[in-house]
Amino acid sequence: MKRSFFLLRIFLSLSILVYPLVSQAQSAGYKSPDQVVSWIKQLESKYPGLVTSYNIATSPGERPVQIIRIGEKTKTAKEANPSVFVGANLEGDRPLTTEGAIFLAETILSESAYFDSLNWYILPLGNPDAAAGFFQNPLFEDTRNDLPTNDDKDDQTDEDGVNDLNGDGWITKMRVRHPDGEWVVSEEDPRLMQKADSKKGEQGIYKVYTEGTDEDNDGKYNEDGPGGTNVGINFPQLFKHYTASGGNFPGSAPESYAVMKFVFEHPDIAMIVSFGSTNWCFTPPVGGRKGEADLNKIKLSERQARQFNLDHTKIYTLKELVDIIKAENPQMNVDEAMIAGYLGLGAALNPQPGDLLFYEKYAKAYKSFLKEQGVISERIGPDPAKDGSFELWGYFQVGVPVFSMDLWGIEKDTAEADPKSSAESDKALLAYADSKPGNKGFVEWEPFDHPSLGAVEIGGFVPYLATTPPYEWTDSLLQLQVPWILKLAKEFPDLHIYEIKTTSNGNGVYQLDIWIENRAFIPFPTDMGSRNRQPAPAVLSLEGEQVEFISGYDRTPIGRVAGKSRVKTTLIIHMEKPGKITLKLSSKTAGHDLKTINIGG
Amino acid sequence: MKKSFILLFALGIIVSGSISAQDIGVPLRFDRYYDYDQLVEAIKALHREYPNLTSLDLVGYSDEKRAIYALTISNPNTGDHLSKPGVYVDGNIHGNEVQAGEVCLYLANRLLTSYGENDQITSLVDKNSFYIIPAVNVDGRYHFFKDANTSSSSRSIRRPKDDDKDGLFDEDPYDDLDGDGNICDMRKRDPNGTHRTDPFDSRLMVRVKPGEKGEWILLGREGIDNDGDGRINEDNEGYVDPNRNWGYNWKPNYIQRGAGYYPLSGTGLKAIANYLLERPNVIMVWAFHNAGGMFLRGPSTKAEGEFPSGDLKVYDYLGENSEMITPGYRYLLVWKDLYSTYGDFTGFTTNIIGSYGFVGELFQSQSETYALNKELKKPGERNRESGPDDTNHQRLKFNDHVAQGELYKSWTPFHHPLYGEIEIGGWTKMSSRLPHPFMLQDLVHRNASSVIFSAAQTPEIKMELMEKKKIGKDLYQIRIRLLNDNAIPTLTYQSLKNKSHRKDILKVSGASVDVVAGGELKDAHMNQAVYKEHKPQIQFIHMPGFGKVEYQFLIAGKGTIAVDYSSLKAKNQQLVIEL
Repeated sequence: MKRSFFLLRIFLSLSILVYPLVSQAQSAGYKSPDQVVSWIKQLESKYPGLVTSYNIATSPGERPVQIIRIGEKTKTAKEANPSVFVGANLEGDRPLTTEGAIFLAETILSESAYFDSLNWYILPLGNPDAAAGFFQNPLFEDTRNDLPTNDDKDDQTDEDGVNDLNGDGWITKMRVRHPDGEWVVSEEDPRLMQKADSKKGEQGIYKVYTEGTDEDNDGKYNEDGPGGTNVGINFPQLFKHYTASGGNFPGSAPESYAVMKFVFEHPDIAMIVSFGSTNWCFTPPVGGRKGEADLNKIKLSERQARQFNLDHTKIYTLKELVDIIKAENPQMNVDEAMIAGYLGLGAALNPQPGDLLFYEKYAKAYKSFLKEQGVISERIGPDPAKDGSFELWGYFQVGVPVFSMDLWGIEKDTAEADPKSSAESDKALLAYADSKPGNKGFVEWEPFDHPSLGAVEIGGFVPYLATTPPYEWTDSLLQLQVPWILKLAKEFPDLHIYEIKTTSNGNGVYQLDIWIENRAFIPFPTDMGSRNRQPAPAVLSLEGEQVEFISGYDRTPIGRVAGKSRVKTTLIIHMEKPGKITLKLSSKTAGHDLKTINIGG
Repeated sequence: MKKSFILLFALGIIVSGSISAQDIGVPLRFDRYYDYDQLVEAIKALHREYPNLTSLDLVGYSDEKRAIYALTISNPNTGDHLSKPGVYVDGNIHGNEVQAGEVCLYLANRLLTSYGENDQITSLVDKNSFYIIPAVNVDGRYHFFKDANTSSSSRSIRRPKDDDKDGLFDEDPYDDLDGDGNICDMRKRDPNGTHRTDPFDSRLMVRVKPGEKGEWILLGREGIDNDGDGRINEDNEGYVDPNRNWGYNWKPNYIQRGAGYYPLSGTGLKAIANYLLERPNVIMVWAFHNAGGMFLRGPSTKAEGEFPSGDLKVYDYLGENSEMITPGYRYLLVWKDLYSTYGDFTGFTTNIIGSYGFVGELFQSQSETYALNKELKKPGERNRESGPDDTNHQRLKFNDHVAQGELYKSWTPFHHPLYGEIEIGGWTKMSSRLPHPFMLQDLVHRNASSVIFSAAQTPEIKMELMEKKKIGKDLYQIRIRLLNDNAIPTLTYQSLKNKSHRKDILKVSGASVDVVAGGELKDAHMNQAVYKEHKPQIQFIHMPGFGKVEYQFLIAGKGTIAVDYSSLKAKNQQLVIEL
């Protein structure tokens, strides 16, 4: 029996007695920032030793930013488990994602199998200042923390924010007829507005504003509201300076700075999960950004070519260059990342082809997983990652596998609709809005006498409509999707000593061929991790009494093992007397292994 | 028992006395270098001696928890420090570039000791707020003096990094094998070697030509293979380049070597960034480094494109004068004349703080000459001779006869655990990138003079009433002229372009008036004004360098009006007019 999201909604809405009449009901049930703090406290006292909380920062609005750690502390540093870092609601406008993180934590704690070989660091609320807005009246979707910011660079700070003119408890839109208007009413539905298409000969009729007055009388409306920086776009990958809410520079917000600091101080983090506005479990991260060097078409400058005795008119692939340069400089540690950096090939802007292989594999598996539970995954979106976002930073700069979930999407209006089209998403959103009784989804356009704009109409979609379902639905939504994260947590690289072959060359000289295997599909590290050289290598060490090394060393870094592959390391040792040697493979993120073998005798 | 206790106690006093403030008094001396502790003592001594003109600011702590101090020089009688144009000067962000600290100390010393005696200095201190951080990289400076180093090492901030990707951090640094306090070079006799002794100075070596027999192989810097991986000195302290760790246009390590894990991961740097962000009045920034003899301006990368021409005029004016103050130093552009850098301090101060900035690369080794008068090169000119008159040979003779051998360590035999019989020798730590102390005084004075020159050019705004005309009953036309006779505008043109900072505000108010219209007067004779659509009583303006702007207001009412000019980076002004 097929069930769609739509039917699920009807089923649930029939089981709910009545929608509360006040608009604050939207937030009822969701945990406010204060309630998240309490929840963390309760969890810590309920599971002492297993759950530890860290206060990593204080927001400009004086709210704590907290991470909880789930994991036993009994293991020594050498045998410590790898970890998964889960960051939720960093933009502050996705209350469902905070509930998702809380649900995940409670699920993990219900089964020791989820935490005995893995630690979890969970940040349930990355932007508490913005999240507090969901619990305020009037309701306004705002991603900014409480940092006072002179957005319009005038003589006052935070002097002109939104206003609930019609007193309905929501900040919607105002439309007003104006000769400079660029908007027209949509042909699909008179409630929708769209930009006039001059190519079709359309002429604009309306100006559209966010609901509010011009409090500072400068001719601009709501251009300098309270706050602040959107923590969720304050990260360094594709960070854009001088945006409305991106912040001065990456990490200028104490919340994002603390997250970056925490992640790099915990090199045991093997995977990052984001609960936010993207869904890299459902669709792989998008590429298509221009400006990235094509590593298969490299042309050297004359100076560079002279340096390496190469031809500056020829086109090389990166691999060719590495092979040539390595051959000429056998004592140097030449690899692709080093040559790419030296030649100034620049930043990676798009997900690496090798990594897209695992993203696509898991997206396919996830869709099957959902189908098995009776869900047809026909939804609008999900959104691509924003410039400066947490998940882009995790993938490109930390260099570990990164997955994300937005935990809910609006169902497509028709089966053939393009999930990425904005017109389609408007239609779908309207259909969803109409399904909510009592005009709780769309406020009908009603005339209003505006103090400076004159005759306007106020109306539009209710805030948080597209991102935040009624709280009563969260249990089933989270039960459906969040367990997939627990499955993914078993998928990151897993290294073992596969086989050791010992060959005696006589006179106490032995050649050891050691194969290290990565049992997982995901490579160690990811292709991006190889490119940015960020993740720490695994180390193969050899211990034994009276062992002399003829070729190789007692510590061998293992920098790269592709998914479901093996790499071979060869060591040649000299042992006068037969004895035992121990080979240890240790990695903070990819597992440990130990094998003891007899040499000679 | 009692006797030995007294003896120990006395010894304790003597030992602690050697690092006390006793030898550091004001005026400071500049025939010497100051290690980290002595530098802190010097800053404190200046503050102690001039408590009314200075404040000692504890900016924050470094990664190894050393204190970073700034000295603010500001005359409280001319206004709160934030109300005046800010001139920020720092040095020694790279831990080995130590003489930058002395330049900053000298500047502070000069401003304070000459205050009240030298008119130029007095008016300069009255006009500006100086924020001076002599040592940014306090850990780097501390270790540069205390540990054995090359002239280039101890550059990084002390954040461990696995440079050689072996899973260990900073495990194979240089080693001072002969314990002389320097990290020099190692060489070994080898008839198949790549080098042979230079015919003109046996301390130097030249590459063998095809067919020639060698004498030496070069073994790199002094050290051993600490981690047993077959390489020597491959994972030194850091490497996080503190001048690539800033927040503007930051790129990760695989693109920009030394960038650190994320912007401002350096604890001390983060504190300094906050210090600057709390001082929005800063309009001029000087950061001192070594070496090469340059005054560098941005942009830092080619991709950013050139600065607006209005800013170029300011940079050219200040840069060219700096060249004339310090003959031999060249005024240059970072990405074009050196190389692109991401996440550097200049990019941060230009684009986030909104100030003009120079990087001063102090000292030119080609000033260590040894040539006859007729062959002597101009200051700063590169010596392109080869053979016995080239720079290397001249510098060695300079070392011998002008520095009495203090800059160069002669090759000395040593037994190396891996290489066997080798020789250690080369230029010492306190050479090559910094002057012998006898040349320090000249360096610090000239470079401080460049700072002083630019500090004299910070914006000073004068307001005057151009014209007051009654054009109706209780209706007046007022024309205000604002002048800036100095080179530096109140906001950089780059800030205007980026809309990154608030413009200056010109406000007209009065108890019984209504400002009917107001705007910039583009042409006074033609009466062409560009009126502001909303709130004419508040105008957002920009004062150019060496220039003026004129504003026109139509005011209805009577009585007194106040015209208030307020700026982030220049002193506020007020004009009171009777209608």
